[in-house]
Amino acid sequence: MSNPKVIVISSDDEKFPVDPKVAEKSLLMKNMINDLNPDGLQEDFEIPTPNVRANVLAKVLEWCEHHKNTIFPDDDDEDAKKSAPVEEWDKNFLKVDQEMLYEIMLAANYLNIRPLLDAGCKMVAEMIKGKSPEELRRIFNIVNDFSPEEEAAIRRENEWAEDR
Amino acid sequence: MSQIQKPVKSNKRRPKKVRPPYKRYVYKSNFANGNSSDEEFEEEDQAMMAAKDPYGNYKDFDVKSNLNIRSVYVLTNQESSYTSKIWPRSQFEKIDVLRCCINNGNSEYLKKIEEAYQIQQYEESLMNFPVEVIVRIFEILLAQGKLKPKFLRVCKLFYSLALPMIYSRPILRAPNFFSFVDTLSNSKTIGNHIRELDLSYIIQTGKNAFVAKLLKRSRKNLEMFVAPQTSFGLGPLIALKNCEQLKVLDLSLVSETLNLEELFNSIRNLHKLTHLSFPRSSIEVNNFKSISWPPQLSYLRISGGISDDFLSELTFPPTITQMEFAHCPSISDLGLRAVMNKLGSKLTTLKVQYPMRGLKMNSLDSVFIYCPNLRVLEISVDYVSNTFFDEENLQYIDYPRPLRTLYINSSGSLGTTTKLDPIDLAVALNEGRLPMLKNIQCTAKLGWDPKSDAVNYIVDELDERQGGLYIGY
Repeated sequence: MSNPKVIVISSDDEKFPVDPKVAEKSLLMKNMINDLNPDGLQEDFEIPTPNVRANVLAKVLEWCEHHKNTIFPDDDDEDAKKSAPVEEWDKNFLKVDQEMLYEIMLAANYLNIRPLLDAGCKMVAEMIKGKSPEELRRIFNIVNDFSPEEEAAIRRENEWAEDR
Repeated sequence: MSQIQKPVKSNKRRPKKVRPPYKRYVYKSNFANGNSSDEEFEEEDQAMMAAKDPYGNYKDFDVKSNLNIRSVYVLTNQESSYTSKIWPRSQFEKIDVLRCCINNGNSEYLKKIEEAYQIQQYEESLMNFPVEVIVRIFEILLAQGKLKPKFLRVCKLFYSLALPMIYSRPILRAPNFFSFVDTLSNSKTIGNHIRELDLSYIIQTGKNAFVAKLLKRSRKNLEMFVAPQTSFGLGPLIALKNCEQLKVLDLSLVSETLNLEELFNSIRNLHKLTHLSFPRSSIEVNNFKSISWPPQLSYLRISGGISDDFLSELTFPPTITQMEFAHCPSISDLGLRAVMNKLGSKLTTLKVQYPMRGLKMNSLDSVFIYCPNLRVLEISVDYVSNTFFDEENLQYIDYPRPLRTLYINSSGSLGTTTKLDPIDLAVALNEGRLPMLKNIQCTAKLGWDPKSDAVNYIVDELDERQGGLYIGY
């Protein structure tokens, strides 16, 4: 038999066979594989992902496949990492509609794929940084739970941090 | 994950119409033959407002009786099956359960609940991130300096997430300093979010009282404090005592004369303090014995009116590994030697910056002898002679000398351009007396010719070690 595969199953029961190396980009799947196969992977191993839809899972695994040889730096230089721009390939990869981006990020969060989640967060950060509070509420679908007085007070209180 | 999503959901308020108040049908239930159920929502809102009145205001209901009748109609004219488990969703505080059971349900409520459910479904399909993702996005915005107060105004969740971040490292300049002080004065708790307070850009506006107030408000979690350029008097000094989390205290910009004894009194109990920079001008301490150092101090920058006596009499804390000297007019060779004698072998970083008027042309020549464990060294060419890299000063030691980074500065005054010859450094590198050295940063005022063989040799050698030679101005 050839190398055993990891078979990731989406919420709608679609199966995605991938190399263990690809699946291990997800910390969740990596830990699952290692915990349940302490002697190494002998045969195909199924991992259900009950809250990721097939087309989202396909995207996420495409990302893992592309980055299977990328070594991501550890968490030490946090600040520099946060202000670094999104890598070009990731940027194009994440040029999808808002809903897809949202679902990819949720999946990355759930599967614990830190670099993908970070790239997604940076895309969202880029998207929202020029927006007004009203637009932000629309994007995140949030109801304004401040009274106008409260809003004015917050504006006044934090005046010092505004752009000048 | 679902647990964490809850707070996000709580932002969504259900539509008002799902909450008809209780009172109107209880008190007018006798008129249960009202008009159509297609009333305007506006009227319903009015009815709700009337219902919010306390019990004493029942006559309001007489005025708006037709509304109340409608409500009663809605509740009592039921035809569909109405199951009791829907009740909790309607968020009634008190429910006429008996009547409802007898008449068996209400179709209008069913419809409204259906609508609310659809809205919820729709909302969930949009960007509705779990909190940890929102935090991540905010952190990225913060690192890029784009986390602006407008995010606070979006909703209460955003407010509670972004507020500690915005206040953790406030960027303060002269124009916004006053409003910042104002904000902190008006709120007792907001200062608790501050972790780093950098007042280095505050010049004329930094009055003692303001600085003291800021320190007082932020004392709970303050970890780094850079004092403003003008004043740091008694008030701030006393406030400083309570900043128990303080790790870095930088007074190097303070030009107001500061009594060092008072300073030591204030900081002796700061158990977490690791970095301390002295003010530029200070009154000397005479009573050396009374000085007690913060127990964790590892970095010390000495400047101001420190004398040789001070340096030689004082017992330095054993934890110090990094030292800097700058602007000390009264320190001479003697004082510097005394320090290096005491601490030399412990130091990993030593920086001596121009001007140090008391030092001689070759005061720093023996640095390599006193401090064999340095990893970072900064010198000014004014205080070394041309034998600095020679074997008598830069000796072989039993282990590879750990020096990795070397900064060479120069004041550019007469005679400094010919003092250090790159050939000496090249020889030292060649002979393996600086085996770990990777990076050298020096100034063009040294007069090193980039085309000369010696400089080229240094460049090649450092290149091989994956470092480099940087010549700046």
